[in-house]
Amino acid sequence: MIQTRPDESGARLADEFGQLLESLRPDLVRFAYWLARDRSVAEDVVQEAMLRAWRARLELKDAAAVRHWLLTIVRREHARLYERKRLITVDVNDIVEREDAALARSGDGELLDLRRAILRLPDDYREPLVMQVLGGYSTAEIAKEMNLSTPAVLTRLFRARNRLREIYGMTVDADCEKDGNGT
Amino acid sequence: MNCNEAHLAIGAEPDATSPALEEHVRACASCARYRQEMRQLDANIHRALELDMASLKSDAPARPAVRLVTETPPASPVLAPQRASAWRGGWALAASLLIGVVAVLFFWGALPAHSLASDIVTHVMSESTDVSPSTLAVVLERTRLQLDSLPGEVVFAETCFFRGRLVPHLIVRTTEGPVTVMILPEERVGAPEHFDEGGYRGVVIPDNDHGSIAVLSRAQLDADRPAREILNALHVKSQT
Repeated sequence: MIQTRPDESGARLADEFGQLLESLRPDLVRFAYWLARDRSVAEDVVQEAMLRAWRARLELKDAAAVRHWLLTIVRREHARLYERKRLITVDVNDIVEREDAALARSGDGELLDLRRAILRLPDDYREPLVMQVLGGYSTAEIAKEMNLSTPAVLTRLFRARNRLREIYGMTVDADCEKDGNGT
Repeated sequence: MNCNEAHLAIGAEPDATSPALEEHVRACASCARYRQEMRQLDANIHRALELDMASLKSDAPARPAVRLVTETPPASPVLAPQRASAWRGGWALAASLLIGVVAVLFFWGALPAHSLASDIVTHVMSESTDVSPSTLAVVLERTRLQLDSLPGEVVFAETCFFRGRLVPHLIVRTTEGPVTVMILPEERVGAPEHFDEGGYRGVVIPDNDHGSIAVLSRAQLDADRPAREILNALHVKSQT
């Protein structure tokens, strides 16, 4: 799909790559949205990421890895956004209130509380969770991308899920802890 | 593998498996139930994240980029300047070089490799410091220990993965300043071990019944007093 073949023109390759980018755009925007918690910021991030991907398209050798490659570019572009722009600090309650109407329109009402809870997760917990669940990253890949140790990533994922678990009223089973050494 | 380790493994990766985890889950109905719940939760998380972006049209007008980070906004948020001046770039370069030198010294053996104190400081330095006092009860519930009293207000309480085990990690605001407390049931020391590294000073004190307790702080305060008070307040939870 993207591999350079001598008998193909550059125009055709570019066209194929452009179509591939467009087909993956919804996935990329969705991923960026959960990182940024803002639709317009997510659109900007994806636009920049697609430009970068376009310029670097010849570096991609494995077409099967294109989604992962693009998600990584989006994640890095999102991180870069905060390095180069003047930023405004926003209360998380304002974010949830602002996004609420849009989230409620997005279909499954049963999941609205969970979406709100995900929006409220601190960046340190939400980002690895989104990378794992939505992006399909392994723990080792998340650790590498976020410049963390693998145990630190495991801890953050564990905490993120346990915070979300609380909204379902699930609590730790005290009986489980009686046997400290377990099996 | 014990229940704490199983919970961490399942909570971090509900679909992951290993021979040790499978062996534990077969013998522990509670952990098997926890895994089932976590897998169901994970399926819901996946559905929640799979937003239909076409329907997610924001009503709000276009906004400048915002940093969406604070659950509890800091009193005086410091915002990054839009454009760094040349001298600031110079200082940044110098600071980077200094940090690099310190890092090289650190990793080339200025500190004992993989010592208990070194691992404690490394863990604390990488830890986020968001305040979650409401989780204190849950954090302590996960251990077989309880704290009758503490030498100050608990401003952070989380369960952390440390040296392969889940341990309580607290930050306590004492009258002398904040101290980090780590309760380490599986780490045994023969006598109090003081350390001063990575900008942290602290002590690991033995507890005959519960392993050891680490108390450390960036401030130059005496960690022995809060460590002793915490040691006295720590008890095995009565089985009712």
